Amino acid sequence: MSKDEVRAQARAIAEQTEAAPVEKKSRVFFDGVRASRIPYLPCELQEDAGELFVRSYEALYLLGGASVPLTVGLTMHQYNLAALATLPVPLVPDFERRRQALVDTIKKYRSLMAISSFGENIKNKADPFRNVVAKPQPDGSFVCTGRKGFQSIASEADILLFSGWVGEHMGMFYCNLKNQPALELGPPLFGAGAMALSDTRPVQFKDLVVKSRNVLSVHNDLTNHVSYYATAWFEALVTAAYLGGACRALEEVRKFGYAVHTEDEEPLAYLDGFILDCGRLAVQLRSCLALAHSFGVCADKYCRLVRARGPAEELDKTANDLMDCGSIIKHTGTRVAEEIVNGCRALIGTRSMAADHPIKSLTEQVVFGPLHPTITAKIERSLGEAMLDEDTPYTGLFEWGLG
Amino acid sequence: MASGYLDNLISTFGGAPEGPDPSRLEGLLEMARAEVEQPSDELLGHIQRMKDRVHAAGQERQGHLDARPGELDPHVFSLIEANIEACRTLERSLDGFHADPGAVILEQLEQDARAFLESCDRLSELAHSSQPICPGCGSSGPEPSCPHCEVDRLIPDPEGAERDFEQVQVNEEFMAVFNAYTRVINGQGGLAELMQALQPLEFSLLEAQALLQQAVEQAPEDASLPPLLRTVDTALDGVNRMHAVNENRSTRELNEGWSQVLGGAAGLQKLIPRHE
Repeated sequence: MSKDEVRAQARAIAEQTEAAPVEKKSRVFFDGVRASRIPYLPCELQEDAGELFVRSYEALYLLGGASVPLTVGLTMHQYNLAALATLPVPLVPDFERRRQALVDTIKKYRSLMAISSFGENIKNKADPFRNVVAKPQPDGSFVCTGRKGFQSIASEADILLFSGWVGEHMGMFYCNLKNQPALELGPPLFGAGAMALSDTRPVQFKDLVVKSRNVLSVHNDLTNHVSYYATAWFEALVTAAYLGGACRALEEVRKFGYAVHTEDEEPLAYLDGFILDCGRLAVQLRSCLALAHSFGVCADKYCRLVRARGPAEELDKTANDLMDCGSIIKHTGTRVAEEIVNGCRALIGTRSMAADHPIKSLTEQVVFGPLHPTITAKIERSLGEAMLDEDTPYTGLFEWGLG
Repeated sequence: MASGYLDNLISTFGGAPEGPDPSRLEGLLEMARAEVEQPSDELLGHIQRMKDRVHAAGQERQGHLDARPGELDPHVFSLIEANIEACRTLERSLDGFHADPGAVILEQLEQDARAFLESCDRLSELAHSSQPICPGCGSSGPEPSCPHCEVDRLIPDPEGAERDFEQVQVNEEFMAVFNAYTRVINGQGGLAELMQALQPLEFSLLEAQALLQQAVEQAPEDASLPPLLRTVDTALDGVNRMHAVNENRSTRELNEGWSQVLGGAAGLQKLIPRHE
């Protein structure tokens, strides 16, 4: 596995996507992605979660510079596959076998995987329950009915991973998404807006039959275990797309700094005030990249512990640290991406809001970052409660690294 | 289907001569040369039958061409058109010899037969091409997919049209693979469509393989399990061969792979009731 190869592939896809007309960007992006190693890194690096995270993050960051919405869509595939590929659950052999078959065939068929929203929390109190219900059948299959609100890369993905209630338990299933008459994709949620290319749609499950071989879990414990870990991956990885976009905004500022001159014919880039303003934004960006790196370290430690069947207490603490780590990366990374784009807009001025200026769409795209789960308020509440624990003095240290 | 058309043509008329076999052109001409001074009723009977066959073949080819106006690659179209014309010319010569046998008309007949066989050889070269050609229009080129038909170009399998598959009742996953496979072979669908159908079947076969391996470990004395496992392994190998066509572009591998997959389906059907 050559990191240079992955970087080169990501850069090439980014360049091609950038150059493509709007209506062809998605096709160019996904054709390039499928032909590259990027979406199949989780299959190649199953035993090395740390390296997997770093390589994936870099690739998504570079791609984010060309298109935030397309990269957010790809992140959905990447985080789920990374979670399934790297988290063994030796005590549940059916899950072990099926997740491995899924991981292997995704690489073999160069498939992309979409994920249905795991919750249907965004609804009015009076709205009826609409989440997916999976009814077991005598032959071991399940019939799934209901609705999921958010599906990115809905038209592009080949496989859909989704959750559904099995009695009192939340189960986890997958199915083929293309040519699937029992799944009805709704209209794009973001219309023609700046996030349209994420191809996010609701999906209606109309008596979808899921064979037993496509059932990953029918029990809360296993579903929560896997989805908890997967969520941590998502929170950390998704920042790559937004920070990649923020970096693109900085690049626009750099070009602006040399294109525009003072009355003394001096480029703005030579002015100390301009340099300081840019420096502040660059510090923020690079701090977030350094922060993101910590997730790979923690994920690697956690996966090694799981594979070695480490002590339960240490496993729990490391799992919590991993979740915290993902949360703070997302909290800080998505906020900083917004701040950087806002800062760049302020430096360039009105011309950055011209219809064809990259900062115009980035301005609309970065606001989506903090809205992904886990939302900012929930992260702040969770960490606030921990800090204010009545019985324990607060140190802020992680068990896994700095503790 | 261009390759199917070519295969039929070659199997009807081509191939190396094996002695004076009057049911083949070479054999018939040899017989005609021997009897040119005094043609027997038997020879004239063979001439008439050959003429009827050539006529029927020409009509059939023409029907194929007429049914697909503008669909075939111009080069392939011209080869087939030339072959049809050669059919007609040969038919006229055969008719002439039948009506008034003699050395002059035999010479013409031999010349027309040579032209016809050369035309068949040119088509045969196409059917035996080691370069991928479009199963829809017969075009070749540097692109992996035919820009006109938008299907994948494949290296032809000259024996493909002669394959007979057994009839088996299969479930929807095997059926989906069969439908996608026939669409690829007929130049109506691409390999991507076939891969989409193969993946769910592979999921099922992998699950079956794992469960059977487990069962064999748990009950090594059960003699019904190993044949089942072998059948699933064979089907999985067939899936792998079909999948590998993405890289090798070989129609032969595609056909062989499907044959194994279907064999697996048939085997499971036979073995599972016995196992129960």
